[in-house]
Amino acid sequence: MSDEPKTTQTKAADDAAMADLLERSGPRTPIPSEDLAQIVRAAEEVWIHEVAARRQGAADVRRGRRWALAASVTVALVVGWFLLAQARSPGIGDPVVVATVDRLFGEVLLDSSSTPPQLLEASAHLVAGARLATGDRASGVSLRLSSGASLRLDRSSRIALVDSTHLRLEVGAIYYDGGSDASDLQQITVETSAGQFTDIGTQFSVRVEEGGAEVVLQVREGLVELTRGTEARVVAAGRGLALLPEGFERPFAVAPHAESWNWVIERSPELALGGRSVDEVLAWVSQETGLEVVLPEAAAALVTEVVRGSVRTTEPLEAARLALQTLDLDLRVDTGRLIVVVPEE
Amino acid sequence: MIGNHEQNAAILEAVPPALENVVVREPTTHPDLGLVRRILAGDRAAFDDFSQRLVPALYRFAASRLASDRELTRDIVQTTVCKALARLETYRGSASLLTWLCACCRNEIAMHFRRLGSRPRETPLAEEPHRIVPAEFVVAPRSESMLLDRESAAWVHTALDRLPSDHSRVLEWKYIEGISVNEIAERLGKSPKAAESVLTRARAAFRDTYRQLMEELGQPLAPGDRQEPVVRMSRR
Repeated sequence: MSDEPKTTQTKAADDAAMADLLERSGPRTPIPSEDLAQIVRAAEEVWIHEVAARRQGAADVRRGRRWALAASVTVALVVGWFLLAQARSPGIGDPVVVATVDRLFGEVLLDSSSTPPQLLEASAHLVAGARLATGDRASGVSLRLSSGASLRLDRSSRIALVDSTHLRLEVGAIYYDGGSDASDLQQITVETSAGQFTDIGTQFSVRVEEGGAEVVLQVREGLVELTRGTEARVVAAGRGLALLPEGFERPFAVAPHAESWNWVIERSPELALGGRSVDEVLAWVSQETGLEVVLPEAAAALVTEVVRGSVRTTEPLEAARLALQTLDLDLRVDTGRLIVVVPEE
Repeated sequence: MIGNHEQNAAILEAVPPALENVVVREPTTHPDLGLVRRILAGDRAAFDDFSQRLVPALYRFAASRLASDRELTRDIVQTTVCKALARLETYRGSASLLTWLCACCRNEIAMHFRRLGSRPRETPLAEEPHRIVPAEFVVAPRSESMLLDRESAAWVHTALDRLPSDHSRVLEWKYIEGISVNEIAERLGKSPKAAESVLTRARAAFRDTYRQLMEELGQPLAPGDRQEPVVRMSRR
């Protein structure tokens, strides 16, 4: 198999060797195209994220250099401004707001370093270091992080908001939805007794059983990087991973509309329908419920219509129904799909 | 086979430099480093090359080590590729990107079974031959020892994957299913002479593709091929 000109004899020997190799390789099973597509999709998501992060980093460095140059010229002015501003603005140690309460369920206890433990109030602002504890039964809370992401806390849970990108889950469950804006590079890291979970453009939940006997990750959309000690890896949408004691694990599959997401749907933030197009509402419903929206052709042209009025709801399917009603359309839910129905005349 | 290559490298380190057939080669970087730089720079064509050329090859490599467990293979390959892309900056070009990915994949497989506290369901020893060959594919019975080990077979299949489908199809008909040239001609709707000509082109294409793949992996071309001169990498 060299590049040199071959005699008929060596060519025949080459062909024989190649034929032998092929025969001995056995039949070729096809690579499942859907598996390959899934792998490439996940890879592409990581690649886009990494490229964007590199560009952001490079821009920060360039910006930093420009700022350094500008600072060296105007240092005297800056110092003067700083001294003046210090007298007027809040101190450096002032608490930073990292989240706002979107929706509150039952009683939730707030414990921050600046105030004694108290019941959390609707629309409260939470500062870095705040600790939240939800009660049993129907307790829970839906927060809007300063990054714009949604963070939900199930009943019987305890978390510490270290800052807007880092929280510690002691027990119970959290759900994180980074939103659909892929350009938003702010990630969240959830720290648990079993490891750290960092989102890569994601919807995911983490549940810590009492005593930390089991920590369960479920990825609904995008990817989550799991770090345990020095080991890191990525878990993709549709997959779950139960981290068991002594480093053991149990992987499993989880559909985006599986029942295990029900507590998340129940804690959906409120949506004002007025001023949004019907397809915007449907996209939100899909994001909240994990259902795939199926639009018949006859309805596709209609859903760009904007909903009028001041209707607000916290129930995704109700939101979809209300928005579709304005177009005389209906819906049904069938095995992971929200199907828009055009009523017959 | 990669394992053999590593062993060879270790053996070569111990070869006295005075040997006549020793060629001292300056450390060079693999051409894949250029591809990696383009991927890191956000070049779509480079990413497509990566995903179309390397991901299927990695899939076959993983499947050969995981007894063709489809779900596990998909998860392991996905994790490997995603992690590799996240730390692509650490690729230094001392081996091909495929070799690097295979090394990452081996680690993922090892970690997976360590986490489960078990061994692979079927330990994929390099020497282990295929045990399951559907009868319809076998024309003349072959003894198991005549079949390639799973990993070597995976690379032959990867080379076939990389061929245009009309080429890979005729090669499989001829050499794996044992179909005669006349029958291939019938299937192609061509004369036997034209079918032989397609086979000749397909063989040439396979030879080139397989050779390129083996070069990517830094492996000898095929069992029985003549040995390359001993190469000793100088260290700095």
